[in-house]
Amino acid sequence: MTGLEISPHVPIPTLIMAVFALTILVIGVWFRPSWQTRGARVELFLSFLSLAGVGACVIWSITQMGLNIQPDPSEMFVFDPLAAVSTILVALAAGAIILLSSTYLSSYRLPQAEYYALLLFSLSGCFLCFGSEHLLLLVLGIELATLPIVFLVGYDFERHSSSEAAQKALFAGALSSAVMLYGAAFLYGATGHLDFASLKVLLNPEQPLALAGLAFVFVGLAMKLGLVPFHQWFPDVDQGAPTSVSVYIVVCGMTTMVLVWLRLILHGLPEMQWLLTPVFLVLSIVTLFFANLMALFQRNLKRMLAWLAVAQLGTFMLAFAAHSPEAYSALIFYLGAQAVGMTGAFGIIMTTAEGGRERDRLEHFAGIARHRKVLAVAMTVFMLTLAGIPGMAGFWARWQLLSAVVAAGDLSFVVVQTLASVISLYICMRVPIVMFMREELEVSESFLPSTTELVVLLACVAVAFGFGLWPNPELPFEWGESLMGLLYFSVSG
Amino acid sequence: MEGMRLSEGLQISLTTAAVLLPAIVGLILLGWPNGTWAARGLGILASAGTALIVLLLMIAGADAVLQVWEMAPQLFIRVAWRVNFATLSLCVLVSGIGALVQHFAGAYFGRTDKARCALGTLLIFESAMLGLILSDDLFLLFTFWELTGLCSFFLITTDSDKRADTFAAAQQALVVTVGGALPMMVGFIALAVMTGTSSLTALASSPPPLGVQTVALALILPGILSKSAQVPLHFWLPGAMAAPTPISAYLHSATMVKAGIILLLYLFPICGASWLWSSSLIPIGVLTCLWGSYRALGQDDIKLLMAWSTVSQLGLMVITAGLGTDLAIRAATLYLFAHAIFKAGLFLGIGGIDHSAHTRRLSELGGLGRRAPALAVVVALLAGSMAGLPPFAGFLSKELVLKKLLMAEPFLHDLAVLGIVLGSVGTVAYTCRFYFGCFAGLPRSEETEKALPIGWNFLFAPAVLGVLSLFGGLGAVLVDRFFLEPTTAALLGYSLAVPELRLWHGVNVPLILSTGIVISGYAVHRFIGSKPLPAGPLPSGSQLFESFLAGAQSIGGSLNRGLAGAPPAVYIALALALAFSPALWLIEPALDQMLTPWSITGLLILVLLGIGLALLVSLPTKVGRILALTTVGFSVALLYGQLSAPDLVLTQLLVEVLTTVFFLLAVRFLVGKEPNESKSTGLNALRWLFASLIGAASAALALTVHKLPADGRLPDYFFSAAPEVAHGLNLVNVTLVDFRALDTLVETLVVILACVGVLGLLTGREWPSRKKSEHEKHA
Repeated sequence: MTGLEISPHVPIPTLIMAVFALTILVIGVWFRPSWQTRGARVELFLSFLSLAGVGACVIWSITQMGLNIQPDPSEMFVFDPLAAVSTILVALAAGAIILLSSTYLSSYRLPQAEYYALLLFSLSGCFLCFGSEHLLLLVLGIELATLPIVFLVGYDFERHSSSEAAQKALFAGALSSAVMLYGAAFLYGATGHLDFASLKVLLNPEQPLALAGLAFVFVGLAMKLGLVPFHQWFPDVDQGAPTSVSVYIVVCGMTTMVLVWLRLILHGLPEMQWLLTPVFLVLSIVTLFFANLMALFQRNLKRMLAWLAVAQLGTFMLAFAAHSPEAYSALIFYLGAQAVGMTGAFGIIMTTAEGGRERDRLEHFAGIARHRKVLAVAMTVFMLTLAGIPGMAGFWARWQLLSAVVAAGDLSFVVVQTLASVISLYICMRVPIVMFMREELEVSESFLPSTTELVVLLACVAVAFGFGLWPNPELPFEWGESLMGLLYFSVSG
Repeated sequence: MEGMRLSEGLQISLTTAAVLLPAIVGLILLGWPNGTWAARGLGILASAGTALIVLLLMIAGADAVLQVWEMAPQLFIRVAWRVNFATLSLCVLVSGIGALVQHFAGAYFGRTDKARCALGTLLIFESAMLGLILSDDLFLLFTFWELTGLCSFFLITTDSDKRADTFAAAQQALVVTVGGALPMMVGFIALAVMTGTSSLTALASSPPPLGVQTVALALILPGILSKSAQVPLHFWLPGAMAAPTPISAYLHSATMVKAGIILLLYLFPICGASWLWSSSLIPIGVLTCLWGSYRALGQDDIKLLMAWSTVSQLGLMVITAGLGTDLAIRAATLYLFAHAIFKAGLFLGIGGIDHSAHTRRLSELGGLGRRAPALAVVVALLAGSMAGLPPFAGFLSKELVLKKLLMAEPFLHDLAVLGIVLGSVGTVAYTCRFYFGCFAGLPRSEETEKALPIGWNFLFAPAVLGVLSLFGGLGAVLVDRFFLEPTTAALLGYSLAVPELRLWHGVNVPLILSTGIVISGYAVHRFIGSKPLPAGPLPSGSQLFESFLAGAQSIGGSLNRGLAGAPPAVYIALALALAFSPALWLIEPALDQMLTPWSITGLLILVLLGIGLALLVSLPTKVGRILALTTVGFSVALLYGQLSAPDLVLTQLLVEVLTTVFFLLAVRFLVGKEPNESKSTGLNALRWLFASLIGAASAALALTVHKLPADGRLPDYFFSAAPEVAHGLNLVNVTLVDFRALDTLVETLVVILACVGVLGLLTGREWPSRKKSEHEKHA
């Protein structure tokens, strides 16, 4: 930091992502490989370039972590510790997904420059949300994050389900944005401001107009997030999209939206908790039961995982209901554990794709343990961590979250949550059972992962186990006492 | 004894080593494909080694909480062992039986690969069980608890190549025991959060308030009841008999199913004061005890008979623990140990019978006493203990249960007496049925006639257990002094001054009761004979479980069909309804504002607008509707005119004309078929209601916003700045080309880029289709 002082109010990660995305786009246009020769080298270079961009964001965030930057009411953006943690979380997940994508995409034989550029553009939007202190900037970031996803979902445009999913994503995204902006307009009407600092002071829930604005903003956010009953598009899109995009939606997209919600509540609406807690509790219960029951029914793994992710949202909502620093710290840890499990599980589905054909049904995995032991064991680990079995990262995450909720006094809801998770345990155990104990359908070469894929998957296993056997649920605390201080500060007002 | 003080560090190392040793050996076995020949020896060594370490700790008089690792103190997560006489003697039980079972399993499986895997997993299970017993921390205990469930899952499926039903059984056992433990986890969290500690020792020394006790117990009970196979969560245990016999002997009779009872014993000082303790445990225990005895009398397969008898006796233990007095806890402890020993031995004996006669059916067995006399003697020792005959350990424990029962006068006392007495009669009856069915009379099948005596390989483990049962009874005084007294003291935290345990107390009520029980049990056996009792009209637990799952599946399925397939309109309507609902409160104040005088022209335009809307809704064809929509647009333009905004009128007209033209052009490409209108009047009424409410709410919103004081900050600034800074008077123009010139420039660029893109799309070459290119490749 000699001489070069960068203001914390400049969205550096967003700019890094945008620069890398544009570079990739230009390279893609100039070195467009001819269809027959398939420029494998250029594509490899592009994937490394994206990885470098994501890595740069992680490094930048780490350097900013300890600085304990506080929001400035006159600025729209601040890269405070919460933003840094969010950026690191999503960037690491995105890095894993980029690594997994390179082999997966080569089976599609579609130009890859667009793919990486769109992915980075979407990430730039995510990173913009993480530091926004203004509702409009937040909406802008969300739009920037979700619009590229629509195109990514339709990336394999020749496959019918892919383009159908893209349409659904487009309509759902447009509707939710419209609803959210409508709400923002009313909030502006009620208070005359849209920055979080002013909203926090001026928003008066006694005022029906403010209430209506809040309702619209929340419905819009819930649609973006895929909470029941605003979930309808989510499983469809997730199933139809190419698997590398599905995992991006489930891991980066959902994590981003939860963190955005966290930021909005901590910085913009901490005074509204008495109003929001019942809403969150109801949403949580409805989501938990509905999504788990739906997941029970699925035979398509991608769809099942999507429903499981929706069900997890129900658990996350409990953290918002509890509204304590412990609950939010647990939430961040939970998001990380969930990201590891989901990335791994989807990653294994990705290794099975062959020539653009997805092998994503439960039957395709029957008996693969006989010949692909490593894959089967890895998948079991991911399923166990998603189910929250002790010894896995997911267990300590749930543990910590539930104790925070119990401490907040919502014991009965915790009981309901555990009842719902009995169902999800059953769902998660189905996959290992099918893999280990059913007869093999076909011995397929496509289950051979490439070295990159294997490295990523094993890294996910290591993290799931590492945090399971050596749980450090205080990681968010240790990353900066400032974060904890910030959470305390925001919650206690 | 006092001379051998071990330092705390050494104690920690020894305890941790005792817990980890079997698991490490187990992992080595699992990962060593060529290690089949060493499996049995290593298994026995590991279990015996653990037993020795634990004995060493016991002799040294270890009694402490050993803090190994503070993981996260404010989350109550830590690794700590609780080493005292009670936990250590439970460990001796687990590892000792473990060594015997490993010995037997080596003979049972032979030197096969399956044996290596099964023994390896068995060792990992042993570690989990030891960890469960020794944990001082609730959360560590929970982790080991779930680990035992997972190991049980894999062990049940050992024979999946031979039997088709192992899957369903294993899955059922897993979901019931691991799932049942989830509420328990919440109970643990509640205990820890509400008291501020997760240490069992600390909790026992200062019990939480009664309310907390009740809440925690209510949450923990499902875990205990599912693990210890209590009605109605018992059904997984008979199902788990799909596992090979040594595994059933170890997991499903001697150790894992005892985890619930052990936890009850641990919890008694913590939650025992709650009213829920007796009032839930006694009825459940009585039900389990009676139903288990009844079903045991109905089985033909002796292994299933033993499984049901385990269910019944677990019920007995729950009743005893449920009495909730310190004497009852003492009785339950003795019964737990006695049962583990004789039941493990009996299961191993059944393995021997199976090996000798190649059948486990009572209808085919018989007369084995003459053909395998050694086996008959060994099993007699164990069965005698189970039936509670003197001088076996089982007699002592049953005597103690009865005595405590008659001494205590708790709530639900009579029910408990009834349950225990009837359950004991049943026990005697099915023990007779089992023993005489196997060993007495004549062989009932050709297979049995060819039965051979079995070797010491098979006989050693049950014989050791049988001898233990015998000496446990004969040495009652020693058992009391050196085992039961210190164990109970360690469990309760204080020692009981009670009469010593003896075989012969003289003629007293428990003895008379006992005699009555044995006689009536035998009478019941004679009366029923060998015909199996019917299971009864009630659906079995596993049927209920399957139908629960099927029910959840079908609910999920119908939700899927009914909702996931619902038109998007339903979801959009739902989202809008939820979003607009707060605005409904605005309708009433907005109505007041509607009373202000209306201009005639405005009203006329509104009427025109209304006609357009009505046409839009009612016209049957697309073209008609598009034109109606245009009417609405034109009326809005008129409204602008009335408000004297001619530029807006122009823009609006332009937009309307263009959209109408494009719409009409687009309609040409659409399929001609009109969507089917719903004929249901109810649905239509609902739609009308919904539309009117949303309309009213949005109108109210608009009116409310309209009434807000105008925010003058921006207009004021531009009015003053426009002439001075930009030297222009038209605010719109000035803003576009001066204040926001850069934005305008970029926007123009975007439009140009979009045009270039459209041109590229229209004139560019087509991207080769993947299908086409593949086709070419093949060609």
